[in-house]
Amino acid sequence: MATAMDEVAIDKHNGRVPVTVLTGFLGSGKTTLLNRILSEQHGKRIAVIENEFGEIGVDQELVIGAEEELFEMNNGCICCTVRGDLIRILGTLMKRREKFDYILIETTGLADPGPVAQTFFVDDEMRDKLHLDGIVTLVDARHVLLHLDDSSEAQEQIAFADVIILNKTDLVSADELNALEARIHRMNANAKILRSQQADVPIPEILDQGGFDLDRALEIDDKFLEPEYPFEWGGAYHLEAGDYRAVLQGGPDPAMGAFVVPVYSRGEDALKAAEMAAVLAFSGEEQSVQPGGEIAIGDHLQQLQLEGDGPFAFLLRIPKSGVYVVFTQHHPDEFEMQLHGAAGPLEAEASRAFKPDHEHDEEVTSVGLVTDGDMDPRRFNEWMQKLLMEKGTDIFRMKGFVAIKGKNERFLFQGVHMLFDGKPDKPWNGAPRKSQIVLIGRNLNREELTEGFLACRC
Amino acid sequence: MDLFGNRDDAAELARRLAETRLKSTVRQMLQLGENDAVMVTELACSEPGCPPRETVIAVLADGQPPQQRKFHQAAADVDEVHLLAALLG
Repeated sequence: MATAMDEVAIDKHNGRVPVTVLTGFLGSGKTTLLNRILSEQHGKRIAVIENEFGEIGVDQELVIGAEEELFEMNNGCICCTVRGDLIRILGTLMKRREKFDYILIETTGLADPGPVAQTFFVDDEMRDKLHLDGIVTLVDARHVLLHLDDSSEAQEQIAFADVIILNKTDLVSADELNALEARIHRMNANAKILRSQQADVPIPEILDQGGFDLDRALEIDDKFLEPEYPFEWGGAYHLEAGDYRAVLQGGPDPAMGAFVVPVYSRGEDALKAAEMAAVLAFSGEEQSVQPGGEIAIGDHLQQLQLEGDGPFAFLLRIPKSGVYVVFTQHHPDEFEMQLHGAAGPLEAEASRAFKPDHEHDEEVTSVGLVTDGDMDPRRFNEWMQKLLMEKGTDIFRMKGFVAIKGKNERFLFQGVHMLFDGKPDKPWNGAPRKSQIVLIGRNLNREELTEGFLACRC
Repeated sequence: MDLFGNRDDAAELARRLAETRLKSTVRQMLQLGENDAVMVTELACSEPGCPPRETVIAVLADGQPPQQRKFHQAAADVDEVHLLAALLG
C-alpha cells in the first residue's frame, strides 16, 4: 500500500513514477546503498533494474536484471542515443504498475549516464509514464583519484549527477577529502555532495530530489556564480605613519604574492575601492622581496620570498596615516601571516575572503554565467541553438533562467546534451531582473561562453 | 527551434496521435509481444540538405537485435503501405 507521502510524490508529477539512476564505479558502494534502500523502512515499494549483478541481500520480487544495450535513434548522434534494454524493461515493468511506487536503476561502473537520462526524454510514452527524478553517483573517496584523470566514464558520472556521495571517507584524511570535494564541486557545481563511510546517507537525501524539475533551475549556488579573483584575501587596516612588519611562517608555497594600496574609504568600502587596483596589480609585473626587505606600497605585485625556515619578516613603511588595504595571494592563515605594529599584532578593521580563480585544467568542468538586466530573445535563441548544435555533445547538463525583454515572467530551462526543456515561471514582481546559467561539460571554453552569453543582453 | 515561442498545441497533439498510431500498427504488423518495445520519434533535422522532419521507428524485440526504419517525413505522413514495405524490406 502506498503511503500518503508517496501519493503526494507521485501526484506532483501527474501520476508519473519517479526514477532514480544509481551510478558509480565497481567497489564504490552501490550494492551496499541499494541494499540499504531496499531494506530500510521508508514507505516506498521500489522496483530495481540492475545492470551489475551485485549481491542483493533482500528478497525482492521486483529486482530485474538488464544488459546494457545502447541504441542510436539517429545515426551517430550521441544526443539521440538511448538505452534499448531500459526501454524494453520499463515497458514490461509498467504493466505491473500497481506493485511499486518508485524505480531505481543501477548501472554498471562503466555506463555512460547520458543515454540512460535521454531514455526518459526521447520517447513521449516514456515521458508520460515515468519521471526521471535524479542521478545519484557514488564515489570511492580513496580510489576515485586513480580514475578521475583518465576515465571519461568516471568524469561523466560525476558531471551528470544530481547527488554525489563521497563514500569510504574513513579511508582518507580530512585534507584529502576537502580537496576531493572541492575538485568534484568544480566539475559539477549543481550537484549536492554528501559524505559517508558505508553508504550510510539518509534515504530522503537521495530519492525524490527533483533533479530534472524545471523549478530546480532556480537553485543555483550563488557562491559558484561569484566572480573569481587572482587573490584569496583582502584586509583593510587603519595605520598611523611609521614602520610595521609583516611576519609569515613557512606555508604551502615558497613565495606569496601581496599588494598594499592606500584608500580613502573605511571598512568594507575600502576593500571595494581597492579591488580593481589589486586585480590589475596581480595580473601585472611583479617584484621579488627577500625576507628583511621592504614591501613597496601601491606599486607592483610584491612576491614575498619564503624559502628556508621561517619566520620571515618584511618591512612595511607607512608614509602617511590612513587606511591601507593588504591583498594576499593565499589566505593569511595558510602562512600564519600577521601585521605587527610597535604594540604587537594588528587586526584588520574589515576583511574578506575572495573566491580564487582556479586553474581551470579539468577536462570536465562547470561554467557559471550571470548578468543583470534583460536578454534579447532573438539573440539568446540563436546563441543557444548554435551552442547546442555545435557543443551539444560536450554539454552534459545545464540549467538556469532568463529575463526575457518584454516578458513579465522569468523563463526556466534545463537540458541534457541537446535536449532542451523550458517554461515560463512566476512573474518577477519587482525583483531585480537577471539571467543565469550553469553548464556542465567537457572542454567548455569559459571565455567564449561568457562572451556569447553577454552578447545576448539588450 | 524557438525556445521562447508558443507551442502549437494542435500540431503537438497531431504528432503524438500519429506516433501512437504508428506504434500500434507496427505492433500488429510484426505481431510483437508484451516484452517487445516500439519507439516512434519525429525528429526535427537542421542539417543542410536534410528534410526538415524525419520519423524514426525502432523495434526493440526481446532477444533480437534492434531494428530501425527511417522515413523522411513527419509521423502523420507515414502511411501503412510505406510502413509495411519498410518493415518487410
